[in-house]
Amino acid sequence: MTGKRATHEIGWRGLLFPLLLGVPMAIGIGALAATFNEGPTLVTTVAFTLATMPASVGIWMIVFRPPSTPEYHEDTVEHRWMSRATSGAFLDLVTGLGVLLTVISVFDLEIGSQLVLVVLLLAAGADVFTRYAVLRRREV
Amino acid sequence: MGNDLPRRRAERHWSQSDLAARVGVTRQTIISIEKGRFDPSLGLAFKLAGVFGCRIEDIFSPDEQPIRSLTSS
Repeated sequence: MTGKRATHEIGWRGLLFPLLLGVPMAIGIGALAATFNEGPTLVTTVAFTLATMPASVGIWMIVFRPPSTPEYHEDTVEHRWMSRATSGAFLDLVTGLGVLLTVISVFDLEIGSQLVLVVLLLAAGADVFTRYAVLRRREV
Repeated sequence: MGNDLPRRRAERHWSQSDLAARVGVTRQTIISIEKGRFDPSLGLAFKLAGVFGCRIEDIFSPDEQPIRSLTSS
């Protein structure tokens, strides 16, 4: 048992490693995209780098959790809220995919895979965010 | 689930943040437990009992009513 404060402050140390790893990773993805996509190399690289930067840094922020993160994170109410939000969003996503697949099959629609994936990704993110906010508002 | 965490915490002059730091969770978790809106895991219940030097059933009760510990009865 420690007397360590359990807060959610990130601090510069919590950002240093994610930035050091996330920024080159985003640039790498940008360069890779420029290799396989047609169009101006610089523009493609910059566009993909900027688009993937939040996710690239965010992934490493999860990996390098700040030292101020609660020692027993899985026992916190925030962890419970996130578990419920993500499981609920997963069911929503599966249902949405089923409905979408039915509609596409019945009407024999041709939809770009990139568009579908972007919409699903955004919808899933918004779903988790909304569910988490509702749970937090209900219980706080 | 009822509990007497607020009373035990007040006896020791601990804030919710103090108790949260002692058991390694967030302050919001302690708030939710005290309000009876979050049932702690068995591990966390043992930790809470450990910092107060009592048994789990001295702190928590299955109903909504705050329990009276053996020492106060």
